[in-house]
Amino acid sequence: MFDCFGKAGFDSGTKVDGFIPRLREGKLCASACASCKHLSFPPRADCPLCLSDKFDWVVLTGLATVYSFTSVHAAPAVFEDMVPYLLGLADLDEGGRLMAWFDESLAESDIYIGMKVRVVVKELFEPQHNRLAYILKRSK
Amino acid sequence: MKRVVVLGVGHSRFGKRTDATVQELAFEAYREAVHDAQVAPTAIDALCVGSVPEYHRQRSLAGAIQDHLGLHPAPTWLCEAACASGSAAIRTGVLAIQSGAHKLVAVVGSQKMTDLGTADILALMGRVGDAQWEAVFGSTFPGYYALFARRHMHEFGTTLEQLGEVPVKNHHYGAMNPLAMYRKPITIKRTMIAPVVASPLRMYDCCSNADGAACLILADETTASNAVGAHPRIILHGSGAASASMSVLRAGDLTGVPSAREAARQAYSQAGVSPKDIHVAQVHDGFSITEIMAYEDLGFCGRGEGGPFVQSRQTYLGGSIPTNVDGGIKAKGHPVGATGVSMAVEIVRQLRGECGDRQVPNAALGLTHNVGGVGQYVFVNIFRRES
Repeated sequence: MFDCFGKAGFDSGTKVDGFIPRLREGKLCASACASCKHLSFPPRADCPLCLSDKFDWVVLTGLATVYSFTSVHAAPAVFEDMVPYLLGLADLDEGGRLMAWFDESLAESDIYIGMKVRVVVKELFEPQHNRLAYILKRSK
Repeated sequence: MKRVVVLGVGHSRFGKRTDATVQELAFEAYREAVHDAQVAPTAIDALCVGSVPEYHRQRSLAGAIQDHLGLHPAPTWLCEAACASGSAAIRTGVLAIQSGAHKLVAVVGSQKMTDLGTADILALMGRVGDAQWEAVFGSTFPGYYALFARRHMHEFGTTLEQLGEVPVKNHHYGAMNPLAMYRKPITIKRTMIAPVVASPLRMYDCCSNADGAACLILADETTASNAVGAHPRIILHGSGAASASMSVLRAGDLTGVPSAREAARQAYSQAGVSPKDIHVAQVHDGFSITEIMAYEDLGFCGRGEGGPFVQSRQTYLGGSIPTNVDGGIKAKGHPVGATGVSMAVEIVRQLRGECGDRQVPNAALGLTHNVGGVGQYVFVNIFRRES
């Protein structure tokens, strides 16, 4: 299931596959360890702190702050048609960090470290159907 | 702990080597190192190979190289730690000797990267990070270090000109090194107008894939004292290794490399020296920002001071800590599995006083710092010339 995530999927399945249907419903979720409650984003089934392999999904607000960003001009395979594209690292309000593209309406000069953003689900209408990702929009 | 002596060193020419396979590159470095050490190949009782296998069509690299070097029946195995694979091989060789299992070990770093096309290379390098949560967005290796650079500039006021000073220095010395891939000096102005790779990093901020090999012959003290070589004796004086997250999503602070600070702490402590005692250093300059962070992580300057430090020319010959005066990864080229061994070869030659117009006068204590990925593997070694 997980290979529909992003523009090029590398992992066919994972113990956090449940992330995808939730994202499709517009919910950005982190994992919380069922035992020690440690919150992880990106989500992970296996807790590195207490070694539990049970977890619960926690819906996040999607509110985040830009930690750093770059405009990629030399792309890897599959991404050549997108260059240049803006990649951001955003620290989520509830903890954890994600990498995502910025909303296409934003230019590189609009973006700054510390900028408040919102993580929004985006369907990708690629040659492959039903691909799914998230992007960073300016938070109002 | 048992002391380990570097008896011999060898180094192929780095660059686009369409004339040689990965085994043949290994042979160039190995042959030179064996002659340098003046040991009989039959006395070598293990071969540690550093290489990143996914660049090669030849599989089972250690075996392929062992075959070509003719070292059977000595055992061999592959050590992989991304851009620090060569240093992983050195550490394995050192541990093999310290354990008493082996007495005379050949460490070979060898890599042929230019058989792959650039897009394939970039796809590989994008997946150095997290394939599940990063590579699906088109992350690249230069892109990761661009994120470090942007944050370093934000927190410490590091400038694009300061970043550009790193490749200007390293190309200056690369021009003086016949083994380097790039042998022409560049100017700051040229670095500033070069094409953007991943902003704020431009072409000269980024290293090049390359082909090449380097080799060390390591021995325990008894074996070394029976060797006939006339070189000053070079010993491994301190050694550190550490890991940190492979993902920028879990790495926290992106203005330094915590595993480098930990590996350096171990190496300094074991050697009983401090950063100011080091006479010459080889640090990981895969990107301009990487060298600037290395100065800080190794304690050559304070946190956030790496930009002004390179601008002050303290890392040129004559400065407080001459760094990468062989051209570094930037000008020598970065055949990833060979790089860590190449760093050690340069330091040994500096400590022996063999570096001609690039020589750091009277260098007796030298350091190597080799980073894999965004810090998931770091090895720091300190070598000393015995008086």
